[in-house]
Amino acid sequence: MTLRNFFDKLKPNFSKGGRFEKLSSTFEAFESFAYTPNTITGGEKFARYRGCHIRDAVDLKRTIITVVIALMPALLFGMWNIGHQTSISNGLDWIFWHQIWFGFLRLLPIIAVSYIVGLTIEFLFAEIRHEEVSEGFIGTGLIISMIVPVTIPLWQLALAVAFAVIIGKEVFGGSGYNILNPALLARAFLFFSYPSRMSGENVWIAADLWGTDAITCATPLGQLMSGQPLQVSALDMFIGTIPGCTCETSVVAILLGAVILLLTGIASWRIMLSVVIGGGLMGLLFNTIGANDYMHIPFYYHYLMGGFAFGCVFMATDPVTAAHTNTGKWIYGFLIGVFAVMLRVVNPAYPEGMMLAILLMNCFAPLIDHCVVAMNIRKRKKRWAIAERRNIR
Amino acid sequence: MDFDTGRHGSQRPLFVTGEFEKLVPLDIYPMQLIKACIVGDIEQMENLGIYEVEPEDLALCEFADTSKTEIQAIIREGLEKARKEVGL
Repeated sequence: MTLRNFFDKLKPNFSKGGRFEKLSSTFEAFESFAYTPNTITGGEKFARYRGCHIRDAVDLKRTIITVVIALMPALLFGMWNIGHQTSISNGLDWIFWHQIWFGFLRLLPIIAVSYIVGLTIEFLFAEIRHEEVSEGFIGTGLIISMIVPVTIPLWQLALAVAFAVIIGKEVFGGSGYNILNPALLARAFLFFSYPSRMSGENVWIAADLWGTDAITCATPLGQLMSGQPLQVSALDMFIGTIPGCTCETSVVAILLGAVILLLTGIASWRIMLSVVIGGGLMGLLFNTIGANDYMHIPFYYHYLMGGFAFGCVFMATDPVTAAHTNTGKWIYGFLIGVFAVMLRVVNPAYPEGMMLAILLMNCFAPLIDHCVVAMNIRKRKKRWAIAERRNIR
Repeated sequence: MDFDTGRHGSQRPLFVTGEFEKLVPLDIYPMQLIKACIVGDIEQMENLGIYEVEPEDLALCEFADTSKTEIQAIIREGLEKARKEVGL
């Protein structure tokens, strides 16, 4: 029996009047996960359909899957790096595959919890609303597991995911209507609720599979924050063989993802470029002020440390929560870069500023859009006025 | 690419931004206009240029739309509504 036959056989049970009518959204989600929906343009109101009869092949499912593919290099590198960090800090001489396997075993529960909790809530809300399950969480769920420390307790992660999906997304109406990036909201929830598990020196390295999680090692941002000199080189930070959140340390792997996103046109190059410009200018400005040691670090170090690269490529470019207009995207991205570096250097409480910078600008994106659109309206009204005057003459 | 009348996906909320602006030569914001038509805010529709377009102007957007929205129908309904309310 092929998969297609299997779905066809089950379908009557889940359609209207069937035994499991209430689970129709769930069935539809699995069916459209395996096959493209076979709907045609116009559908039931075909006779008086007035729109395009042909449609482009891209849909939200393909968009999200492209994001997931773009996340793969960072994810694989992250797996290896978890094992690598554990082996060097314990003085173990693990081979490459052992390091990957260790990282895989540590990362798998995090990814599984993130997906299971988030998707359960998504399916539940879809059934309540009698809507189709939206694909948004396929990307979000993976991103959440990539931006937490590897030692995060799973129950805390589950709470954070539930909070992000319910309060961050479903109360507004689901994927596409949210104001804040759900993945970052989950991270912010963890950051403010359980700060001891989200930053400091004891959370970045998984000790061993069943042991305690307490190997002390500061991230580059942590070292700078506490006034120590940087103990890692720029090349290490670029390649990513440093302690940090599970999958956001390697700038190389993230750049590979960025290339995929830009070639396919999924993410906005305007946002990425303007984040980089904003962060760089702010770094240069701090170089000029130079009031303390932190301000003296070269501006490009900010690109290599912490979550700047990951946030710039995968979080700031989330189309729903970013500014919607092209002019707005320049402003939005630029300010993210500026605020991220400013929070890092000036704020004494938080070593990393990228998360808060993006969340802050998520809040301001609608305002930026409003201003850009209002300017466009005013410009066009002026044009009408001129045209009208000419007609009268 | 072989064209057929498949929708290649099902309808979703407007999700991806910036893809319509590339396809409309007019100096308007198509996505914001479509949203104004969906909620039926006539003043905002007028401001965003509902009188400058007709449904076919946004046909390319409808073809390319990731969210499979029926844009031309939405614009037509918006125009009808504006005509009724303004009384032209």
